[in-house]
Amino acid sequence: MPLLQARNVSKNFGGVQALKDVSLDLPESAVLGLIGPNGSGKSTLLNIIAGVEKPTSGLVTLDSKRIDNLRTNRVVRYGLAKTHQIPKPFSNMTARENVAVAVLYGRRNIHSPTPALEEADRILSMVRMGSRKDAPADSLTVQEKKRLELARAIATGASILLLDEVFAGLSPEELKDSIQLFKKLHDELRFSALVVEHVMRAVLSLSQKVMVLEEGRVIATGSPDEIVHDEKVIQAYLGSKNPAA
Amino acid sequence: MNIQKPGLTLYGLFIVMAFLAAAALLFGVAVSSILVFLLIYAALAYSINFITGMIGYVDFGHVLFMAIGSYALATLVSYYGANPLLGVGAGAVLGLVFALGIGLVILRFRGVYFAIATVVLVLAAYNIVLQFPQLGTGGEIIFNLTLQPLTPYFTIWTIVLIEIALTYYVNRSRIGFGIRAIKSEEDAASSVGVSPQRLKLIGYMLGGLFGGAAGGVYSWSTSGVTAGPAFDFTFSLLMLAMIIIGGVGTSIGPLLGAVVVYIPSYFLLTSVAQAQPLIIGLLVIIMALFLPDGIVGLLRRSNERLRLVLE
Repeated sequence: MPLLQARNVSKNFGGVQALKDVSLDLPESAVLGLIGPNGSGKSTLLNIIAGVEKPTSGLVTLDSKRIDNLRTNRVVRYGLAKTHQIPKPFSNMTARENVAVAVLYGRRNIHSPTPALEEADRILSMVRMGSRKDAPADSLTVQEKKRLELARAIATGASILLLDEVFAGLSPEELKDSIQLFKKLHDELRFSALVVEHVMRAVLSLSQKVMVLEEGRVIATGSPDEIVHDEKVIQAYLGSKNPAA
Repeated sequence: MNIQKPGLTLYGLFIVMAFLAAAALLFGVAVSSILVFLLIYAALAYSINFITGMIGYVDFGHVLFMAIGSYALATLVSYYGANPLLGVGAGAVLGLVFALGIGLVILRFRGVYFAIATVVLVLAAYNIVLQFPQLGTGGEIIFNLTLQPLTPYFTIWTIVLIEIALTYYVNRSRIGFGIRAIKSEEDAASSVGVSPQRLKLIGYMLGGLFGGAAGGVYSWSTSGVTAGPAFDFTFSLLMLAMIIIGGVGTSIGPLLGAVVVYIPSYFLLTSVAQAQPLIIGLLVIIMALFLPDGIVGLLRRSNERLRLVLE
């Protein structure tokens, strides 16, 4: 029985159909990659699952409970947390205070600030930001802000992470480092993850399964190896081999 | 910093409050009739601090709650002969209830839309009050009480003391973490489980509660209420000025701001009354440009020890 399910999710923005009949299954501890060209609906799908937006039709369930009609902060209580494509740190706080908010309001049952801050320190060390814990969040580098997003999502106690381009905009060295970190965290915490990514190298090396969206439709699902050889996928990304066809 | 043990800021504020109580007891009416308005200003500053200072929603209409409190007390005292203390209590409760009803609707607006909604509310309330002959012609209720100045003085003193303790507690508790998160990034806050709608409503209701209580003491001290002055936009601006000058969101800032705004206005009133808004306005502009965290921010930056101690 898959943990997270989306069934026939569609979303219209005015006359534009951003998603058409999208379904997905995310079993426990699995990593599902979600790729597609710009504007293919990846972020919309993530937003719908996380409760940021409501689907026009279709439903999303978590352990067979419907979550598509819940607000974001309620969805977090069910154990699902999403990072932001453009990091949104709480800039009036330090890194550890940022993470402490997630500890206090997630589903950890830690309700007082002192233990929450201690737990935040532990999580920051886990994502290798221990030395930056007292830094004001707005003084962090892009990579550090992305790590902070990840740390906050983990800190809620989520069993499902929705990661929106956490590997984008990193240098090759940073990317290698981040991929390795993600694998280590996944081994330790056994969360399941839905990873939206433009950086192919990251998606292909992290995911057991990859789903490809194009113009709001799922055009392929399979192992990373199958996906890179799929004709439709190559066409979506690179255009047709024979323009006349 | 161990955030579960009360720090120096709270003790310092309590010492100031003890001093204010002693001053009134020792020097009686002469001093307390001056200081009562300082404390009313402080109470109003702390009340708006719960919404604009902590959560960052700029409330241009906070005078509404002050007016609600003023009318609650004036009505009870003048038509029902009630004890003014009961009037203050009624003002607080009505402030809270109105904040709940209004907040459920207008806290859905963000930024400038919220600010505009708060202005509109005051205009509407003012005109509604004028429609009720029960609230006096032109919304004017005047009453005569055998004045015992120490009673309103210690009423508002108690209100400020409660506000200080509550501000301090909220800032350090779980709820304070959630509120600061909302102030910074409302959407990101909800993505880690914070309910912005709930916390904003709590802040707004605290603002309504204490604004109403302070308004009650205000009409008690001035022996009446009139619609024009009661809904005067200047009051909202003064409240905002006090927390901007003192330091938004902090426990000590509203009191500092109240002193800075009130003391000169008391002395200027006798010489150049018209200059008062001008001076305060200029002060706010200078603060906004150069010291966005107010006096508290300035002190924190000037000294490492103060940075750790001031809250």
